Amino acid sequence: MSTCTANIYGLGRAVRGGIKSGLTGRVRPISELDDIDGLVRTYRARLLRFVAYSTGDPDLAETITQDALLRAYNGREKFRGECSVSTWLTAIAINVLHDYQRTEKYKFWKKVKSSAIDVQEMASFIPANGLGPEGQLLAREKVKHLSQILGTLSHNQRTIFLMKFSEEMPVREISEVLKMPVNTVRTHLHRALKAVRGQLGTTI
Amino acid sequence: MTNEVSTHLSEEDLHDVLIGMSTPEADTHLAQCQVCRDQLEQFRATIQVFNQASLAWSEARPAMKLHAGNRFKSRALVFAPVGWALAAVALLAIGVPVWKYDHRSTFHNSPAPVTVPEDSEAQIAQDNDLLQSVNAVLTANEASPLSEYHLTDRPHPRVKARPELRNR
Repeated sequence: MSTCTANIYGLGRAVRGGIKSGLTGRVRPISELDDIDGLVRTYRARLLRFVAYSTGDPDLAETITQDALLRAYNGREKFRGECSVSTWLTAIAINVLHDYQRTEKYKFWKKVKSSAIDVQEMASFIPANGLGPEGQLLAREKVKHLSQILGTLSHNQRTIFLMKFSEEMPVREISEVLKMPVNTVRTHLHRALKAVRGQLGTTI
Repeated sequence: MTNEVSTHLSEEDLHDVLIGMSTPEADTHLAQCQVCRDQLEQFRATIQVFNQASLAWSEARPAMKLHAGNRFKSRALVFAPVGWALAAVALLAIGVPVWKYDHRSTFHNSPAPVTVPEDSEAQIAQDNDLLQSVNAVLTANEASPLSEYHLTDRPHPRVKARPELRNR
């Protein structure tokens, strides 16, 4: 069992195992991290999506994503290539998010202002994929409904759900990134799936 | 691959399949049960559409200038000597003319040095003669205050008090 550390700025999170798992199922070369433009180009959108849905706040997600990418670039020497870059970035983003959540400034701004994801706007980004107008409309409704359901989940359930079904991380890797027992991750996923599938009902 | 299965997977079994922790029994059942497979496929299709839409939404958001800070730092290191050199040139370009102007104006504004020639004895005697002659001319023409007001510099004779007044 190997270790993929996301030990950036002393945060000390580690990802054990699942070396070749993750989004693409292959280990990326370390040199990929040396090009910050490439890093942003390749991973920014996925990371932003994950953080945006995890926090429910796109503006905050922009800041966290930017911070996470910058930390990854600055700490690229610490990446040993034992897991996918995507997994490593996700771990860093979670650490950054935890850092933000601990600050008084974050608590203050959460009370004062919180931008939410515009579900209507997001649903309009459905690719054609050969769908007719009716299929597009149906797909848009599904996306809107699922977005709304995700908003009703607890933070842990939502984050783990996204890690599993959007980031396509295996349960063991999620447990390592979140420092959570596998069974706890499994329980969160079961509850999230029950809520999602139960509320989607006939739309799926 | 048939639908002739009497029982289907429970919700928990389906969830385990979705999260990648299925049992061999569940896998065997799925291989035979179209209904359960359809349930899983419907969910996966919904997730796929959601992922596509959310990723497209995320990609459409304006990208931040993440590289600016880092590149600026590295460029700052590279161009630091050039910057200092330019600053020095600018300082000289401004400072030298200002100093020159200031120095020149100080030179022009300062009073010219006065050379005091040494007076010779003859010159002093000549000056004294001149002054005495001037004094003599002025004294001759000037009316004396005594004569002007008909005064005399001799003391006035004392007036004796009358005896009758003294005996009173």
